[in-house]
Amino acid sequence: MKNNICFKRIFYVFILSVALNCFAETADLTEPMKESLVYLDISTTTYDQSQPWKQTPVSKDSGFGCAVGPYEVLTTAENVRDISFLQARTYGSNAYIPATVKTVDYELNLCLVELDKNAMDAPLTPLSFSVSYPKSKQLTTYWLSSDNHLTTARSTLDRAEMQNSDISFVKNLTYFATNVSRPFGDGEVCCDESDVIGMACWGTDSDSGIIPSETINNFLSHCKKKTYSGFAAPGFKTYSLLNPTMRAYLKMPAEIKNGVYVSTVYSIGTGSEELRQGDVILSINGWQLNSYGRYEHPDYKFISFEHILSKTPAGDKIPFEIFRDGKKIKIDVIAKVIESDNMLVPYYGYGKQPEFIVAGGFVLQKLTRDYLAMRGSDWSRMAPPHLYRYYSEMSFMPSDKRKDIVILSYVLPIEMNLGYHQLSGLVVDSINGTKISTLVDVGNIIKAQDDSKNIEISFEMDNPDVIIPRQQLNTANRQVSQLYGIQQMANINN
Amino acid sequence: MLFVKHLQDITGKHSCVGILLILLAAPLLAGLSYAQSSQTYEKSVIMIIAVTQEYDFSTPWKKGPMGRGSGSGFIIDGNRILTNAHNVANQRYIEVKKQNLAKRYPAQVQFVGHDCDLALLTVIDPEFYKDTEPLSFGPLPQINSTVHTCGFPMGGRQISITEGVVSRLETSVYSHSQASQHLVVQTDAAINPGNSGGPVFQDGKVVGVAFQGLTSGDNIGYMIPTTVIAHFLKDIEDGRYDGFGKFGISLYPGLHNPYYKKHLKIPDEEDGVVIIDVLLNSTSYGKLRTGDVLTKIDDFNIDNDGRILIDGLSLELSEIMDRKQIGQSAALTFYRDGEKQQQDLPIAANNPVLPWNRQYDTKPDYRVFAGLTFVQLNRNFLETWGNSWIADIPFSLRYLFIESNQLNKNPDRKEYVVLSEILPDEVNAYLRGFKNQPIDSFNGMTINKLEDLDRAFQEDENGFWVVKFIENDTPMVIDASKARMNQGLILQKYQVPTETQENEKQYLF
Repeated sequence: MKNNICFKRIFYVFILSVALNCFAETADLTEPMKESLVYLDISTTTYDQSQPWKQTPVSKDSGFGCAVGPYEVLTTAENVRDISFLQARTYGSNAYIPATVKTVDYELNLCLVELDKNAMDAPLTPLSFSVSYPKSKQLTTYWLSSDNHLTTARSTLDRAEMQNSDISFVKNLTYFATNVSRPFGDGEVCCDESDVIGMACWGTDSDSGIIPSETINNFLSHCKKKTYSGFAAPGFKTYSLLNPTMRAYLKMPAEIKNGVYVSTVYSIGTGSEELRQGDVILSINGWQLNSYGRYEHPDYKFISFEHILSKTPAGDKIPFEIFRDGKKIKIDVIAKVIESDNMLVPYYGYGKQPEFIVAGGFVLQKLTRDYLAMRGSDWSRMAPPHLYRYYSEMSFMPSDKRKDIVILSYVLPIEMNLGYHQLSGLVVDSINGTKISTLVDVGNIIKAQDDSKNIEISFEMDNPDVIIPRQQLNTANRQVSQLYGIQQMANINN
Repeated sequence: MLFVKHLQDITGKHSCVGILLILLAAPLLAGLSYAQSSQTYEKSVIMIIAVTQEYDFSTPWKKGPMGRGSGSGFIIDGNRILTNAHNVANQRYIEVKKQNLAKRYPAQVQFVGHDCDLALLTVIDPEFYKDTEPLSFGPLPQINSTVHTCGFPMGGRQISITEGVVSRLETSVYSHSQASQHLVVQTDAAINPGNSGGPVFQDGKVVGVAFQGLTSGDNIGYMIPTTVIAHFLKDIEDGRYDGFGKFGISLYPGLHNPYYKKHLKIPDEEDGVVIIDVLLNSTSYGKLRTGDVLTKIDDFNIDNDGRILIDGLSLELSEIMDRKQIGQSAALTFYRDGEKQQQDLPIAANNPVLPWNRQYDTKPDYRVFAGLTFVQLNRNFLETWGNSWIADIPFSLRYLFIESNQLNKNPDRKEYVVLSEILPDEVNAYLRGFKNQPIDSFNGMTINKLEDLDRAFQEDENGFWVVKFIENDTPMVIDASKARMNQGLILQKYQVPTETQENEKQYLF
């Protein structure tokens, strides 16, 4: 037993010495970073999804950023979503510098912020990001804390994967850092020795995610263009093609052993027009895809094809090799972004007021992911299935006939809408016989000065029709506005 | 939200949307009893002990663990014992015992109505009925009148009698089936686990069968009223229990709104309730329409809440159907396009494409091919996910379960079929991802019922079986000849009985 303890002590000493060695060898960028890092003081406010005419109370948040130009700062898009006011502080100064968002890409989770030149004593020293993947190496992360202290943390770079950020539906290359010495994940700068390799975008007590330099450089060079058009997002979904029987059924010759099956093609996004359900994608841009849809990257090894798309600016041609109807063919696919606003059920609407109309106490809203998510962390299991299906199955399937899902969220009770007070969460099908494609349609029909006596709203599934007498509408709206303190009766974006 | 417990001592695993069923372990402990009197009718109250066992609904050739529970019952005319269905559901063995006598008598189930939670038992040994008197039934009790509950609840071995008053009469969910709704009588007489199936007396007559209680409330117990018992006893006179019928319509109390009322062209003086859906294949299908307004059922006027005044009580109009047998008609008066119309509508058994009622005493049907196990999509299968099944089941199944009446537009569909389990074998090595998905078609043939698979398996598409699932564009492809070759081995390896399955299922609403 005693021997054993002795052995353990020796072992610990050994480990300690190895660790000390590591620290000794690591470059310390604390001094130079003082001229490049900023602390961001962020005020945010959003809208109450159930009362979209109302803003939520302002909340204060903090984030971090680094200089990429003398007066330009890079941070994560997550830091600036729903922002109402932004100011920055530099090292050694107590003054707050007003800042504005210049370019934001929620899909890449990156944002370019411009600081007010006139409020600054000296320009910042821009950092340059070097593209490298120092797997298994120790990283040092730097940030300027709220109390103006240049802070560091250590971690180990574990792996690279395509991952959704918390704020978008698009997958991006993310480095995973493990064994973090203290949590970071809000725009801190991550370095391997003296190389800046990325910016932290999320963090827990043990792990952090890092946006790699590769993505950052793409973003920054794209920012220099006249208009920022974004990067390709997939307009299709794949299913792994492991089953040899399935391959035989698709009449694929035995020598083709690779390729991934296209299970769904959306109506928006890259490939939405060129691909068909049932295609097998063999290669993209010359890179062969395996049965899981991964290709072999020289550094990241097998990584999802989404990596290729995420680097391609919108408008570029991407050559695809596919297997279709028993033949190998080559097609050019035009890189397309997916804008949240164009989705049937928008994924996000940062900084935007939700779209709604209150008519006769009936609260009509555009169905969005944020609306469903107000049910709390378990929302995907708790949301009404008929509404949730539009989000989970149809989000990327808008059509000319249907661009929005308009719902009757609930009813603000007044005498005129007696008998309807309990209605909630119903999908509007048509109004006065016209099928509803957008909330704009609803607004137009309600405002219309035609000779129809009533506004008749029909819903999907087994629900009653709602009848609103036009003659009563103005009085009813006034009553609702006064009774429930609603200043704004509609917000419709054309 | 109601929290209802069964008043039967039993162990088991159950739960449902909105209604939490708590079944308590049988504490058959010795203890003091304070049964005060020994009136003759108490001799007809008996204790029922049942051993139960359920099938596993995802691999139906297997049976679950055994459970043992006790409840109460009472003797009625014709040497029959009336009790709750949940006392004897999925029974394998039943014995009954009389007050103050050690002897146990084996009993058999004659009839069981799981939708109304009633069952009739019989004991073959005539000695059992010696010194007992059949109990007779009284009317619906008055609110605030005194009742006595009689039975063998937890806390002792002797018969127990508790007194209370009738607090309400209304339509409520019968938690045994988790879906059927009928009239219940609420009382504050202490009703505890083990009371289930026991009689509730007033003036020497049975006015109800104690059957469930609220776990969250104090002294809130429920009994099955004699109107429901009368339906059950009348129903079985022809030697078969058919259950309670339905019209298959959804109603909305929309006439509270004067503009909607005017829109539907209903005269000012009329009250009624709006039909917002007519279920496919129901007795009303093709006869009633969405937008019709029901104003009268038989001689009862329907109010704007969809209720009728019957026996001095304001009850759902389903009360009329509950008091009739399947096959009997009700006269409906309704407005369509401003015109008053009348129609006699037969009350029919409801066979939903996705059963909401929990099933008991049925041997679930299944098909196993290529190790792929197919079963009917029903509540029992979904409940295999455990207590929070409604949130835990895959979304596609939850959507179907909640909205099947709306989603099914196929009049030929009898049921939904789901891939419930994959018994691993070379032939299905890559098919794991399709588990728990509902089938749409097999080799292009729409699957409307489990039996359709028998024919589907006979054929193939150029050597492939191609299975499509609902709302999934990716087909599941199987090598048909390899599957046929491995069939025997798979069944043997996983001990799946090979005899043809007899479909014995029966839905009761």
